[in-house]
Amino acid sequence: MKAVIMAGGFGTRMQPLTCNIPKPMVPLMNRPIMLHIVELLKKYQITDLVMLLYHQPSVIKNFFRDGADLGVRITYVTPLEDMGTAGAVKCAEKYLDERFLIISGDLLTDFNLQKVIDFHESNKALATITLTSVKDPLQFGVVITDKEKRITQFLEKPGWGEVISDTINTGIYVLEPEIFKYIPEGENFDFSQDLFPLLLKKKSALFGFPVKGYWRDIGNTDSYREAHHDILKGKVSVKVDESRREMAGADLRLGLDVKLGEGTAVEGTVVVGDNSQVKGGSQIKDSVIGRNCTIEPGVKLSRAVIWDNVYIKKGAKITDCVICNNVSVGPATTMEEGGVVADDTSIGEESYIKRDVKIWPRKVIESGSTVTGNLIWGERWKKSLFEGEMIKGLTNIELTPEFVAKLGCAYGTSLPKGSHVLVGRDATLSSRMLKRSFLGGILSAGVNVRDIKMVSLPILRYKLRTFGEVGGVHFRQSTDDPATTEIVFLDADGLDFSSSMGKNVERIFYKENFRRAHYMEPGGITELPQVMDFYREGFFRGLDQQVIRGAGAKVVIDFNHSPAGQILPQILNDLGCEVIGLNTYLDEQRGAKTLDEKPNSLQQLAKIVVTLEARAGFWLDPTAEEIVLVDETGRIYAPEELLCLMTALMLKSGARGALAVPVSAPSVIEQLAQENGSSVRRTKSMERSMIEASISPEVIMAGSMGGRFAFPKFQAAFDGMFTVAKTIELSTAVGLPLSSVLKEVPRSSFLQGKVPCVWEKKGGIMRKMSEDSLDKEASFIDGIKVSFVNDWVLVLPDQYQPVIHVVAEAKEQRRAEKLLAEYMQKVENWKKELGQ
Amino acid sequence: MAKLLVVDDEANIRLLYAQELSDEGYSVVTAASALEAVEKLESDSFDLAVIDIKLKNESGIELLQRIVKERHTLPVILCTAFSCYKDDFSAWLADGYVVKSSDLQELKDEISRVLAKRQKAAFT
Repeated sequence: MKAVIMAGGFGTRMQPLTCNIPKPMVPLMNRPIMLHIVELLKKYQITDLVMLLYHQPSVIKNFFRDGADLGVRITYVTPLEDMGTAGAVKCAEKYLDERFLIISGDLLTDFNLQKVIDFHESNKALATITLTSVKDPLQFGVVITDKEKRITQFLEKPGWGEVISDTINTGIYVLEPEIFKYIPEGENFDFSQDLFPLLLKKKSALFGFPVKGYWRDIGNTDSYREAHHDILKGKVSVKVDESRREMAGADLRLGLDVKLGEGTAVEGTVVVGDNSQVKGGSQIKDSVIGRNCTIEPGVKLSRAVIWDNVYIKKGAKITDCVICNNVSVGPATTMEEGGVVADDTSIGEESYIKRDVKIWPRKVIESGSTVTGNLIWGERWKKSLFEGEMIKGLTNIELTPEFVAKLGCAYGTSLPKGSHVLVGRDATLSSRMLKRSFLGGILSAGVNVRDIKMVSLPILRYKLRTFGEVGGVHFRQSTDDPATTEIVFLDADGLDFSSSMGKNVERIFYKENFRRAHYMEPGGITELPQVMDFYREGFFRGLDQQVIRGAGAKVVIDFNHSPAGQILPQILNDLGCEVIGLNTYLDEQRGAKTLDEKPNSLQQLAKIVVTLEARAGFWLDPTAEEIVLVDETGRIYAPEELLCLMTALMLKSGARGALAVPVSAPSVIEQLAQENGSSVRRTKSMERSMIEASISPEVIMAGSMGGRFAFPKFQAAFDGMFTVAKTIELSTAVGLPLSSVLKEVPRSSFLQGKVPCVWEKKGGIMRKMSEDSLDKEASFIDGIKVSFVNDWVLVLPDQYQPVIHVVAEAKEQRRAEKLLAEYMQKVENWKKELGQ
Repeated sequence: MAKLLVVDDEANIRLLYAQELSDEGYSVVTAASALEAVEKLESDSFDLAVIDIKLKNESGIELLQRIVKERHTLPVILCTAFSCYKDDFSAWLADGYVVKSSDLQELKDEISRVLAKRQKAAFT
């Protein structure tokens, strides 16, 4: 007698276990599921086997080969297309010239197959379906038989209302070769949907034989884990390659060259595959460990299924989870029930993988992460959601609508019930999609939303400064990567989220400690159509309109396809300026231009400014916060030059007060301020620090080292649109071309460099720098800045990148170069010292 | 002690606010009209102004606009019996908005919130 093993399925429901191997090859007690089927067939002297393959056939062929090693003879048949179950068997017709048995390659069963064959023979059946009783027949095909066991009715995957029996089709059939007469050639034909109903209709000898014993369809990851539990509890007997060792109170099976450390606590049934090491001090209960694995001391495994080449580090706790091949689990990591970690994944230390989370292959989970959702597409699971004031991620991969909805719910929970938040976005479709999803989450926490739709960030900040909202959120495409969306969080004053605010939202998100509003009390969405008018009115009030109107300045502005292009030209026109707008139209699909295109855009802008004899040119970043200035000669200003120029313009125009600039800004600023009876407030480089400083009534301007300026008389926030207008106003008031103003600014050499440095060494480097600066004049506002009379050098660790910045300023270029080189070398040397 | 200017055309409200806010430890000056408020602002310095939107023949919002233009560092809280002005963007210039109620707690809370915000800014 021959047997056909159906082994063609994709195993989609078994993902991520089946991402790299076909479903029948998924290991069950360290052996492929299908090998257990081959053993079962062999037990009943069925050794002539036909394997029907389809998906990843070579993996199966390479393992079983011709079957000689297992004492069977295997013929492989691989249909060229999906033919359905019966259609696929038809492809093997030429090998099946005698009675044959069909069985799935992904079953776990100990049925007595001989009884089925005997029944088939004694009833002279054309086809016999093996039946069994299950508690939940809904997901299977229910079969009804009469007293003689003839099948009278089929019911495919019934609803509970239709369940008239708990007897189901097990997918094990005994068939006569005549069956092929009923299966059409080259057509998709299924046993239970097509063939058996056809035989029933033709009143052929179709029987159902109920068998007692263990039967489980290993269809999904839950069923896979439960199959192991059943084996370990002894509910079903399967062959285990590892040999039994004597151990009081435990059923221990060890493979070849297994090292089991002293003091390992073993409970229940534990299987350890060849060449694996279990270090002393670990506790293992009812678990299967594959080959070449290392389990370090203090690890607790309970009902865990570990495949091959897995490294589980000290103190990890894994309960009822599956860990696939080549996985490293970091120290003190906890994995809750139902987790699956697919091949080639690395989990950092002290991570927490929540219940039922599935991690797809080749992922990196950062140390200290809490993984609450399935990680399928993105490569990394970040330890913290926030990077400063924002959450960023690949659109629809890391930031999916479901993720963002949950985030909205966490954010809403952090706010008072019934309060209002202001939400806006840039022009891209992806920002719109994610924003809408986010709104659902906020509303579910009983918080109201004021949706101001497509708007530039400074306008959103401006509204937040007034009463009515407890916070704001802005969705935008990243300028570094168009595939990335950034969600910027603002507080009630329009300032960037502080780290403690971010941590609060994060805590709620990871603990899933959401406040769900009563069904009568979810938040509502309203619109604020007047926001633009409000901004515009404030904008005018913040300027000396008379000065600008009198000038009739001509300026060229590259709007970068941002929403600013919809408002700023009109405002400037109303102020009597002539605006030549570049890239003013909105492109929802394309979004803003990428940073790579910036140098070209600037060159283009410079050319147009000169050709049209314009007063100035401005490149506005897509969020409308940052500008690059081009003067009337076509010169493109470096950020530090722009900061000096703006300072000079402010002071020359007669403004007096304090200027807020970061520690890394040139010292020329102090010089200029001093000459004009003003002062300078040095702040941290973080933009929030600069803005916080600019709220103070004395501050007349805050300027970053990245082309961002805030003028508190209008609003204490970086606003590129207002900066454009203010530059026109100031240059008109001063009455000099921009290039002449810059010429009057005392010059120095300002150089910046960066040294790559891993996170772990940043603290050590700064300690070394502080030791090195002991006998020098140093300031510690942000990083460490050492002054040498007129020159200085700053060593500053980057907040988000594995980099240390070194900035040097000196009167002479050579001196600045020397200082920069000297301190960059120092950082390199400290890195080496710390590495030892 | 923070000094407040309360602008309301109803004498009883002025009296009530002056008493309640004095009990809270504020120094309170009252004005019955926008004109009187401007006079007091010119002759004295204040830490915060509480302005009723509907003044006799005058608009509190216009007074707010004048204050923002001439003294943009002085915080203003609008106080009115109507919530509809919340949607009027001219009112958004205010630092706070309180709907009048017999319970003055909301107004007191808003005053202390706005003052704290300004104080924080001054110390930065």
